[in-house]
Amino acid sequence: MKKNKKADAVGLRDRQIARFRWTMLGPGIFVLFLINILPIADTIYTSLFDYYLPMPQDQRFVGIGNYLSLFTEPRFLQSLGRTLVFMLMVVTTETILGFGIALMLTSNAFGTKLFRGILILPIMLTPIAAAFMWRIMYSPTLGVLNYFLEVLGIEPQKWIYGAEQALPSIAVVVTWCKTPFMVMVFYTGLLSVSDEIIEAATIDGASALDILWRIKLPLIKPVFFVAILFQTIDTAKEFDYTQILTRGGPGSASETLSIFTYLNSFGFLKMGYGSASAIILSVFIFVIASLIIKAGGIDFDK
Amino acid sequence: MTSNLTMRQRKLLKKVIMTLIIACFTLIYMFPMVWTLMFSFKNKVDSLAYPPKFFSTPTLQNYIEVWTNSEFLTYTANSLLIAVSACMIGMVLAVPAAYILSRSAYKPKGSKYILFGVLSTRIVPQITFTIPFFIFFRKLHLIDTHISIVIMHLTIILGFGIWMMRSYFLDIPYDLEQSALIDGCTYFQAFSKIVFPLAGPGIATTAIFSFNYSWNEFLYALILTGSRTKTLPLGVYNWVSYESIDYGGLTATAILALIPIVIFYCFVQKGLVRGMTMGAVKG
Repeated sequence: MKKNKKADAVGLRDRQIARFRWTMLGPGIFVLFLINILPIADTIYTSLFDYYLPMPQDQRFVGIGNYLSLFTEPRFLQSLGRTLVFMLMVVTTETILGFGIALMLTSNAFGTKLFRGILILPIMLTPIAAAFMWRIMYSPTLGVLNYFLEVLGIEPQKWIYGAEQALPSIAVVVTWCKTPFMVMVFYTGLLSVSDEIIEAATIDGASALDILWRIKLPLIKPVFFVAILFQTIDTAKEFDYTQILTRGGPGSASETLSIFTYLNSFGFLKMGYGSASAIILSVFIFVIASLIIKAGGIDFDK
Repeated sequence: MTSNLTMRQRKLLKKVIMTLIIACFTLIYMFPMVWTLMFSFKNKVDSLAYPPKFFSTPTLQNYIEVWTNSEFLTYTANSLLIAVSACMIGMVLAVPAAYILSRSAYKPKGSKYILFGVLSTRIVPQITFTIPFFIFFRKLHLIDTHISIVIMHLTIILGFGIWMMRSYFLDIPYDLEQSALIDGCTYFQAFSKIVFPLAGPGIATTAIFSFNYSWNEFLYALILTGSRTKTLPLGVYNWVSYESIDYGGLTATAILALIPIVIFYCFVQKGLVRGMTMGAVKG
């Protein structure tokens, strides 16, 4: 009799918890499923069709045909390679530059807080505005950058209008806008290294370089990888800056995978083909992100 | 000479030199920003001068032009409406869900997979969501409506919100709720009266990040907005025509759009790094 009562109470509690759980969690997860998971599934589904948007009646199942033709299209392969190069260029520069700036800001100089406040401004700028501003500066005829080169006696450059310079020029803009992110994260990491450890090392006769390489860097390794992870994801997806600066041009000299996908789906209206390309981009980012998460031992679940 | 300096003086000298280096670097790094600001105060003739004019008599002409331009006000209103709605809906859905996912007592089985789904929203590029939604909204004639863009922005905000809020809830010790439960609170009361107030700063930070995202978003707006629903980032485009770019109007719009974001960032200074890394780095 007594045992039964207890079991009843537990059952009641379980039911109450279950009701509470699903009223709280249900709506959020349902919407997340509806707007995030379902669309991804739908994109995968669409990628199996030859689907030209203006003629939906001609839709026809082609299986992995879109994927096969993508991997035989040189333009796609080039854009995939370009995305990788772009990502490496941007993330490497950002990491080195960001760490340098973070070190400067954690030095004992005057006014580091003020400098930090100023240096963070570029991330707040609407990407579109930042991209347009750089477009003005890159102008081969009126731009201030070529003016500086002229003053220094260097030949004017084509910047985003030159086939070879376009991609690196976009990388400069993205790096400029996003390095403050790296700075902020590294700065927080460096501040968390306690002064005592550094003092102890100094007493033991460690040089400033030793402290940097042997103590600070290993201690902030997790933070380092988190910053690199997010920047890598964002750079691989990058669309806004490239679209404003070059639209993938001149020709297709700066066409990255996201521009290629956009062009095929919303320019040529080849929805199936575009979907396949979007899926490949997603898988590409997933693979790289998992590699970084593994390498850095990042644990989000804490 | 330097050898005659005392330890203290040498230290001070080092500090001054370091400060100078940082100051110079900041100046160079911020040049594009300064240039933008200068452009917004230049008149039309000066902005097209070559060699570029570094000093010209400042004019408010561009700002006045932006303000008196009725379209600019429409874009601002659109941006505000969309950002506020997306942010609010996102938070209403995300906060309770995040709470459940942060407590082992309430977590459903397989919450690992839910969390993976949440995280994947950050990894999958926006363009992947764009295609199905575009086809879907086109069928329902929902292109160029506010609701379609709010939904699109939610695809990012919801996942981000759940993930961020979960990290904040994990910081709040469970003991507090437990004692409230023993004192006779219902599960819901323990959440609304104990945990919710404590999570206030976290909610504010998450909301501001969501707002910021929606405010600056470009790709979805480019594909789904039309004359009725254009947002500010697309409004910047209005200064660009086939023949020329109105640099003054463009930069003035950019500076004006920056203002609310700067104000918000001042509010969330503490949660800045946390927001940018989805809670992985706690500043």
